[in-house]
Amino acid sequence: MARATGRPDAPADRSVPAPTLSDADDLVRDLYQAHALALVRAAKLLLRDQPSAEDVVQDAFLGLYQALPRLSDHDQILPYLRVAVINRSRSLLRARRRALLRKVQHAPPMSSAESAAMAGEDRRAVMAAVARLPRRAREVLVLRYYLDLTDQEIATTLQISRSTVTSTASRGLAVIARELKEES
Amino acid sequence: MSTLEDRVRAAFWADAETVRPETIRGVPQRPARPGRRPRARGAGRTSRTARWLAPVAAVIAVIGVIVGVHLAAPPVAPSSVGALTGLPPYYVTLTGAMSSHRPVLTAAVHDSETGALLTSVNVPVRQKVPQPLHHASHSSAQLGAPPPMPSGISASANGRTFAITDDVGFFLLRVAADGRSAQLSRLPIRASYVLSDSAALSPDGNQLAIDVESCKRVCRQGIEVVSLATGASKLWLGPSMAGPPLSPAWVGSGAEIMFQWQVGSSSALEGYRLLDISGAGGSLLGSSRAMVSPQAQSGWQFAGPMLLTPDGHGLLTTEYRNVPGQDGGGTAMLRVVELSASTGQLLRVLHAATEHYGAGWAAHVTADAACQVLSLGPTGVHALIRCPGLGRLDGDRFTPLPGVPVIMNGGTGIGGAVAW
Repeated sequence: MARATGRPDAPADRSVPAPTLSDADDLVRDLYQAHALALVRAAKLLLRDQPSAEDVVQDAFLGLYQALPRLSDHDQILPYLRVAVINRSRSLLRARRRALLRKVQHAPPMSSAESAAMAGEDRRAVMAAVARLPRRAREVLVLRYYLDLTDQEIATTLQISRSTVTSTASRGLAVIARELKEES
Repeated sequence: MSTLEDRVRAAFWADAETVRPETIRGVPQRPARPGRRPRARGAGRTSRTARWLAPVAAVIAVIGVIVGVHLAAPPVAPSSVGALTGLPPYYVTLTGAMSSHRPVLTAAVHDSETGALLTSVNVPVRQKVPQPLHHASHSSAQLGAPPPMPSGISASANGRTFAITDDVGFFLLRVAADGRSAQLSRLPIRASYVLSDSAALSPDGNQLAIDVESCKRVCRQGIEVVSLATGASKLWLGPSMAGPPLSPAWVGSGAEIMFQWQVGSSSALEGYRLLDISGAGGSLLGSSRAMVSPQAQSGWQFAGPMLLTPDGHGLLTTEYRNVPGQDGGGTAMLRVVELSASTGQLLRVLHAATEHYGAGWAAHVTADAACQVLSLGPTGVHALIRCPGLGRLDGDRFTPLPGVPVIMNGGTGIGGAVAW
């Protein structure tokens, strides 16, 4: 099983060239190649659905074209993309909830037999427990344990206080632990 | 770090690893209008003369380009387009079969140019004896056993998103950029009406037009348009009737839906209508306008449904001519034709074929089963047809393709469809 060896969306080189209108295409392409995969994976952890995750990330990068002139500090670009992905994921989840209110059941996409076989029981149990967490707890855990952000970075991304990040993560982990114990 | 944190991290990473880099889409294209740019000093105010000179200059420039193109090269009819410009990258066949007495529905992604099978996905179907959805009030015994497996497929304009309908529900199939993988997700749609097997994905892939039938005291057919993002829906219902499926199809950019209209078996009342979906729903007939009712050429009869070209000028359909044989059978002469959408006149014959039928068969049944325009690409130049075999029509050039989608209207237990 793959393990975290570093932040999946960490920039290899922080010296991003200055985003001007003329080279915006190149810049967005470089950023996409460097970070799209990690962002799609993070979005998929939140949405449980790769096509939607891809949509969310595509939208975030499309939004980047418009936001680039405002992002004077290059180090703001990646945090901007993270926030955009989180916000768009929330919108999509809200839409799904509206659909649920119409007594319509959203079913997660069918996994291939191969991926289903690869998924271990423990992973499935953990993911199922995570899926039942409140939205904010899920976001905190994904940002912390998949994107490996610090609590301060998570606080900035989600626009909450650092102490809220810590307490939300603790409560989320406690719920997961309880559910896993109950299952076993 | 606690063991639990390790487990959560490991689960996240393993789950994230299922997203393979080769399956995600490429860099999004810069939007046509990249947003407001900072105005140069003084650019905010233009003189009145400059304001009207700009569009005039643009028109002159366009005319100049058109004249230049016409002078530089002879006009090329769309039918003789040599290159496969605008060819949708993939076509998806939906084929049903019985395997070990259980129904199996498979969506297969093919390369549109070569026909090569790239990947396939099984679509969930009801494992018990399926009821044909648009006649669910009838028992399967009444309809003859085994009943058909209702299924349909339609494509958005991007060529990689497909909507699939079967007896379980609605599904979205997203094909990866390279066509080598596809993901199926169930759409959160459950109409409160008895559904037919006919649904159409909008060109932008955001809405689904569903053929619905509401049966309370009487049955009323209609079209429901559902937003895939929000689940919001709009419904247009026709008067009391119980005809064949309306077969909705999106037109052009998606502002209108073309549907087939028939009351009972009266041919005088059949035809095609265009539904304006800008309203909030309501009367199907009140919100739609009748299209031209084309008349077939002398000796010919229309066979399959009609599809409107994206520019709204042409109607693609099939027609047949019966040549009876001496043994009770005969030959159905088949052809795919383009008609004028405004006058109904025959514009051109795109493809011709023949199909023999034996004693006891009817020419119109043979023609209907053998020759149909199945799906039209977003440019209108390329069409998927079955006439009699599956193939691609690039203008008037036919190229056979593998896939064998056989649309059965009942009684075989096998259903199929194709779209791009």
